[in-house]
Amino acid sequence: MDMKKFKETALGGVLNNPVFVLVLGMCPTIGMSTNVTNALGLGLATAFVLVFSNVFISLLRRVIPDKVRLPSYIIIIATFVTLVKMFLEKFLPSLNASIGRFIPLIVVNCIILGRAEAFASKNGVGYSALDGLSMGLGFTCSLVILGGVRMLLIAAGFEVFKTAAGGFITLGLLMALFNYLLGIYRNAAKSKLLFNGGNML
Amino acid sequence: MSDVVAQKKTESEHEAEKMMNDTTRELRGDKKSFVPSGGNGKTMNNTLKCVIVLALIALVCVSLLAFANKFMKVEITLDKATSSLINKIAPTGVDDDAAFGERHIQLVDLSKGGYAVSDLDAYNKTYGTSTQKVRALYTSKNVNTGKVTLVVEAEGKGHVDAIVLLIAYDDDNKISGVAVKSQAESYWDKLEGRQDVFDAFIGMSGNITHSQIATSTGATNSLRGMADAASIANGFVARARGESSSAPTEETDEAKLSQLRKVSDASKFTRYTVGTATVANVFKGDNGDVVVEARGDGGSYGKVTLLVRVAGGKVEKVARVPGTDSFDPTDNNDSSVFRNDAVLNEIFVGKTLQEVSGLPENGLAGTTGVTESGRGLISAVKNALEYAASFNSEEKGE
Repeated sequence: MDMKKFKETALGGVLNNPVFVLVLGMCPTIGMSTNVTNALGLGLATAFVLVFSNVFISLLRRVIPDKVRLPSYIIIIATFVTLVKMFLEKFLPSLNASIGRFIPLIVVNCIILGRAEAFASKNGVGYSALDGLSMGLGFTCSLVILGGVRMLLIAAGFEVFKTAAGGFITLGLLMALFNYLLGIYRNAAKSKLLFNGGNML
Repeated sequence: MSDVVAQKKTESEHEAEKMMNDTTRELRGDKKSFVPSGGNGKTMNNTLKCVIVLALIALVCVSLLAFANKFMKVEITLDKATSSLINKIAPTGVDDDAAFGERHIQLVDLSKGGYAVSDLDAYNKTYGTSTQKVRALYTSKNVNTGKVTLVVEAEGKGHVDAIVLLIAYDDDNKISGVAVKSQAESYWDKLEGRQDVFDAFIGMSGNITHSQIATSTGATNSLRGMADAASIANGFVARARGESSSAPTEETDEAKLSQLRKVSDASKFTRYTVGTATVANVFKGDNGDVVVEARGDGGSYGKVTLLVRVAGGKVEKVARVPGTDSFDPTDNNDSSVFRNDAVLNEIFVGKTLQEVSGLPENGLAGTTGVTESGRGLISAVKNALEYAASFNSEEKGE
């Protein structure tokens, strides 16, 4: 196994975090981050779709003609989104009542289509599954952090954070913090590479 | 070294850029992307390959969903929350815990008999639509009087998703109470505090339009969903009690008679109550005329009710029933064209079900911009023709 590629893929959810770095999937991010439960539910639903659509697309990457790759990806992604919707309706009806309207929107979530096109269609099944898991967990964590911060602010009496405007403000501040910390990490990694000949991610 | 960092940093940007370029090239119809080199035979082969691969992927995905549906199909069960709601609209005379724990409120298993409807899935296939269906039937027994009240759980499509109502009925199949089991409407706050809206359902039966419930709520689509749920529940409870079969129920009143005169010369009509979402009544004239009172859904323009005289599988005459539809009265096209019986007769008379199905929704009567209203009128006439065919075969069978 190529350890460098494995590490790069596994840490993709942090270094290329879909919310704080790539700024993808903003609609559910703002809409469903008013509390931690909804954020966790939607994040895990998206992660499930990411992993399985990546695996499926990776399996079929040599079979799907280039010209019909996008419709093929959409069919595959929509299938897994429908499965998630059915699961929520059957086993978690209360969660479905709160986040149900955002579940069908996962089909057009840029993160999923983006990873299918940029990664799963070019890599093997194992790496694609790992990429889906990493990106999915990265997305989930971002949503949970955003939801947690907004919940705390709302509990402290700042009602504005219930609204989309409050969501954007929180997202902007967290994005700045995340990228600042990421910059520190990258600089540290660069120094390590300079002085020790280490392997920077 | 900084180049390495920059390269890592922008990897995702490169990927996104490449994706955008590929998509743009395809949308532009770039020859390199769309027309493979080689002759027509190769192009045909490539096209065929694309079609076959897409069809196979779709087939696998549909099979997967069908398999999953067997295990994840939502089955209605009576939970404590539902029981409490039912106890409010059909009181058992005891508190919620006792009503649930002592089974004074029960979910009815229709397959065990006791009701004229034995299969809910089959019922919904026949009388339900993509926007309304019956989900379950409950009974609530009052411990003091011993009276059993029927409660129907039905859903109608609102603005966002399905609105699920619990509707209690009196012995005359009229609504005696309404409670909302679930909804995900974005404008629900406009209805939530409006007790007058919920009270308006009390005493109603048959088909209900949202305008009969309330006007100017600011949540018309949600109200329409509630009216649809109540309409299909009303039809269901009448059928479940065996009071809405093809047996004649009553002779028609004067107001209805004057409407029927527009489409038939019979001197006397017998009404057969159907009470479904698509067909309200069937009238049989003493001269043998069959007139169907059918409804059609015009989407955002509401619903329309038509009286359609049918003979030999063809439309003989059509008249709109005033005051029952919710087409926009301020819409010039609707008013001048579709509220004009002469125009309607010109469009539909002499046409079979197949011919009506083939009519263009837009451009009906040479008027454009009336797609949704046109769809409502076409579906009303189709519903009438379909029901008349089954009604006639039932009559012959008898």
